[in-house]
Amino acid sequence: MTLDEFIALSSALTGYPASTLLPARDTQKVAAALYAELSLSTNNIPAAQLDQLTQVWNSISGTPPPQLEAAVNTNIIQNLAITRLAQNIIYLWYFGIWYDLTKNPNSFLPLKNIDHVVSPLAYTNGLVWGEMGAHPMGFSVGEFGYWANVPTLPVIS
Amino acid sequence: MKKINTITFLIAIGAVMAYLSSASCGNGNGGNKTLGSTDTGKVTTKLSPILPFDVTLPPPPQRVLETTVRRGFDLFSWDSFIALSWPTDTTQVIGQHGDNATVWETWKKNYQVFLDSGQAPGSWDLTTQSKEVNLSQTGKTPPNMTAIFQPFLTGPLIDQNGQYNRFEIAMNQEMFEYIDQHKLYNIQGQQGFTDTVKFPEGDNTKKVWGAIMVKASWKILGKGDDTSRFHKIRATIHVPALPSRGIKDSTYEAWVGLVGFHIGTKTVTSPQWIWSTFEQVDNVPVFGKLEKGKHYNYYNGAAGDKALNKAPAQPWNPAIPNQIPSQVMRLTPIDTGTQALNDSIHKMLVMINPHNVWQYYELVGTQWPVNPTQSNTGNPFPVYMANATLETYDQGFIHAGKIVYSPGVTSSCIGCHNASVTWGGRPSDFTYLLKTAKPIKK
Repeated sequence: MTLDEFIALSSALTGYPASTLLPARDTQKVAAALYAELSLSTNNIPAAQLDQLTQVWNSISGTPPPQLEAAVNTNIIQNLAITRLAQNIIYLWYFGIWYDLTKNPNSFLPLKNIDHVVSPLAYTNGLVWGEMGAHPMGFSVGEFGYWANVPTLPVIS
Repeated sequence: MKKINTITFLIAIGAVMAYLSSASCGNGNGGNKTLGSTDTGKVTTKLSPILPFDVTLPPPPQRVLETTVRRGFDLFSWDSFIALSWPTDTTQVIGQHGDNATVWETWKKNYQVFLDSGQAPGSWDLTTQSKEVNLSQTGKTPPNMTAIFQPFLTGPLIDQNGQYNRFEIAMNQEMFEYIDQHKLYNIQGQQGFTDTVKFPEGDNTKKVWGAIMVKASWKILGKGDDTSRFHKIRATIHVPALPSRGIKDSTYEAWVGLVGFHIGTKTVTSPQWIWSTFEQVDNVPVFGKLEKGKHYNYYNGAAGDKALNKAPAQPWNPAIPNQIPSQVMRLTPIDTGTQALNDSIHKMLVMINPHNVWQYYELVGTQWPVNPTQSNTGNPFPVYMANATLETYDQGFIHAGKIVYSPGVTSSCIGCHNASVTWGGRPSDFTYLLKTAKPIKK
């Protein structure tokens, strides 16, 4: 999977525009760090699974935007051979965390050896914080007193 | 000739350097000069005494964050450093006689603005305010703020002779007058200020300077120091009392050499300020690139790295005998493009005088807000930036031989200064200076 394919697929999976995931003036380098997870040997990603996900995505990536969500749901989310990997990509973007592919995706049991935070910046830039109108623990770009203000809520329209 | 208020280097293939200059205007320091090549008698240089108003960038199609845009901001930093370090004797050019008294040293120091009495400071007067040089700070932040910042590991920096570094802060006339006019120089004034603190912004279009603050880091010159490689001043050194060790409050005079220099500049395109930081070239080695046999100000090749980049044990007081020198390395190397610019400027300084002391200072980096309206911090770049003499212990940490950076912990000028507030509990526009104000003594 190339970086361009990864960004386009990630956009479809997360609901965020590609320009948000990989901004033109990329100061945080999060996309590159997340993409590198796909080739990290200790993540034990079956090559066939990654290839299949790439092929399926390429087969539907040209779908007109109004129908793209349904195509992703049918061909990726409902496809048991690749849905777990796709789910991990969503986790990457929202939490900045890579989860062991073999574990129950709905479990948040204590981290195993394979589970890891990709990087501090991947964590603080996780999409979940914006969705919550919050910020990660221990890090905020809000000005002094921001906690007294009503949170800014979801970016996705 | 294109009119811009800066030295401009054109990044083309191989980083070709060119210099462009422009029309007559003030230099922001009370005098009037003509921009462009400076010619004082026999000495001619393309370096300029004129402070830039704001950054000048190439047209949008040519803007690449890590090369051309960074170069634009680095040029802004060097322009500022050169102008601020320009001789107060306006018949000279920078380093013409090796070293020189500088423009910024005539600016108001923080202790001349935020008086112990809480009273209004004296008016802007270049002559009187430059005569007093008291170096009392032994940490990055003034003594009365140290307790607040201990969680950030702020601590003293101790040189190879066991001497504490000293620090001072100064501001330009635009910043001072904003504080003065709004009576922000004491606690009561800040508590009564109900507006948003917003310092003046430099603007290329209007040709006005904004607020500028500088922070200097000095070492007491002594054994092993090649004094020809430092900008030097004679200063009054303050030793605070430490009754538990029998140390009394005292002062003495000594020669000190400049080792670190921050410039913070508020501009219309960078409302989170542009943060430039310089160091003396002998300060520290880069992590993993030790030059054997070289004398460093804050690293001893024979001392081992057990205490690398770690603050000394408390209590902290410069008069405690037999203090262990700090063992410091620069964790983030200077960007290669920035280093190339350093080399170019150094050559220009050497052309003025082979013994030009300013050739021994290098730009470590410039941080600016990439998207000023995106958030309060404006997406700073580079994400982290540290001066080895001013953010010594916040450069990041080493884990299993690798450098680890942590958002909110590792030094970021904008990220940290975003948390600054007034005594009235309001954001103080990216400066902690206002928090050094005292109450009015009745």
